[in-house]
Amino acid sequence: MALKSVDHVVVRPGRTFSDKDVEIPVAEDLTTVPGIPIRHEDVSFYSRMYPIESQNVEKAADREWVWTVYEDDIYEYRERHDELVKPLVDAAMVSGDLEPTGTPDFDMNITEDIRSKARELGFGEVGFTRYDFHYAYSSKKSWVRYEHAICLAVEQDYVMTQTIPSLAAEQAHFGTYEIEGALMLDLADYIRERGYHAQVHSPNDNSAAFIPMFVAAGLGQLGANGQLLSPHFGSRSRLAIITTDAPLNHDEPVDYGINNFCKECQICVNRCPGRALVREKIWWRGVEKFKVIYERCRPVMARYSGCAICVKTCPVQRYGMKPVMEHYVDTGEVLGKGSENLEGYDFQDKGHFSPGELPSFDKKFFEIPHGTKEDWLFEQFKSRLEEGNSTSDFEAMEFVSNVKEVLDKGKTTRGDE
Amino acid sequence: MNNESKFLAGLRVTLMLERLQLDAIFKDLEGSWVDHPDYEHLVRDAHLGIAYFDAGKELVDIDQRIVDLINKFK
Repeated sequence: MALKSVDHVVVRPGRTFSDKDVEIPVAEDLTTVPGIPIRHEDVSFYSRMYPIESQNVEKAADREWVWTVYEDDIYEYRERHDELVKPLVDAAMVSGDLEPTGTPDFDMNITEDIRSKARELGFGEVGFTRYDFHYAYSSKKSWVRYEHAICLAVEQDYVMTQTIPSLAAEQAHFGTYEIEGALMLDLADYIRERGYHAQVHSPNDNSAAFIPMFVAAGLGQLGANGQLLSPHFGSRSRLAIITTDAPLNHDEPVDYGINNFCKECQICVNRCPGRALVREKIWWRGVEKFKVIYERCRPVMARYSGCAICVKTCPVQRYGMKPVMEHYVDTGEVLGKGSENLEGYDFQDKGHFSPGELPSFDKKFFEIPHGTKEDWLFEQFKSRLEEGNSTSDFEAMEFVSNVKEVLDKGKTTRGDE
Repeated sequence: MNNESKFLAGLRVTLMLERLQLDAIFKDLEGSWVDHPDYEHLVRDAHLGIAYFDAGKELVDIDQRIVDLINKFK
């Protein structure tokens, strides 16, 4: 007999196009709200007063620094990846200007037509919502066209992902972006053939924080690891958006039980090598969420093949949401919790870590460049002055010249989030 | 609830698979099936089957090849 009462059952399409629907039972004590607890007036306030910006701009100093600590194989792979996706990102950049090639058929259900085509192309999750400018990056707001957002996720290879942290897992991660970038352009072409405009928001040049729109479109909920937990892949998916003027019907947010499940589970929090994940939720920019500590995460990610232990150890990623939620209803327990298979991991030069064990790093390990590149140059220069070091004319000129070089290069939103 | 608390509460204690057993299961799986089209399905089922085994659950709906592997190395 089940230990928990079921509050509701979520029905979702199967993992692949040909799979049958799945039913996910949500226990009463996991039930909160569809999507995420939100205070809309606070979201508006923060987006107006403190608009968000791409990490590729705001955190440009550490984004550049990571290349200096990559292992050789990762460095070479990342270079190749950037070369491969460049034409896809270039094409996405101008995709919103292209005119439709067909004529709209107003008797057609264009929402379901696009959903079906996207699934057929290989997108694992497809949902529709309003493009929410509250989450758009400052430097991208004027680029975005068309009001409807098609939220699209491609599943990352299962077997390779379980080898995290490794080059193979990074190939699964970045390789999925390469596939997705091309699929996005194909789907946009299809929408234009149907008589509507379509703008591709590349997964390698995001226009916004995408997760809130995926949650609004009912494709998952935000996990304690700061990632979208979708029904079939958990956080093992790569996200991108197409905006369009096709008259789409919007989907609704769903309560999969994740808001409370992550409070119970906490595996990713317990297993995070950098101690970058937190136990308690906070209200942040108008939503109640687990806030990842970027400065604890980034140094580990950069030096340990993308880390992603939080992805590897998430039961929703490993088993899928249905068995996890069924097990919770049956037993009140988190499937896999405490087990070597789910929680144990090899961490390269640090060795193997079973449940309850974590690698350690000294304080210096976490000292990395932060802010924009010019902020970081200024901060280093200021520190030297504060330490009482005198500055020669040559050093002052060198500082000015470095800042000028950064400013001349300009900012770019390109890069994987 | 961990095994010690379960034992003290008079509940059934389940033994979880350990690292060496897990390595053996996945090594055997890879050696026998890596080139088979079912390989990904089998790896998925292996993880789920091991989780069910560790939880003391029946291995229903798990591929028989995985059930055999778990029984071989448990």
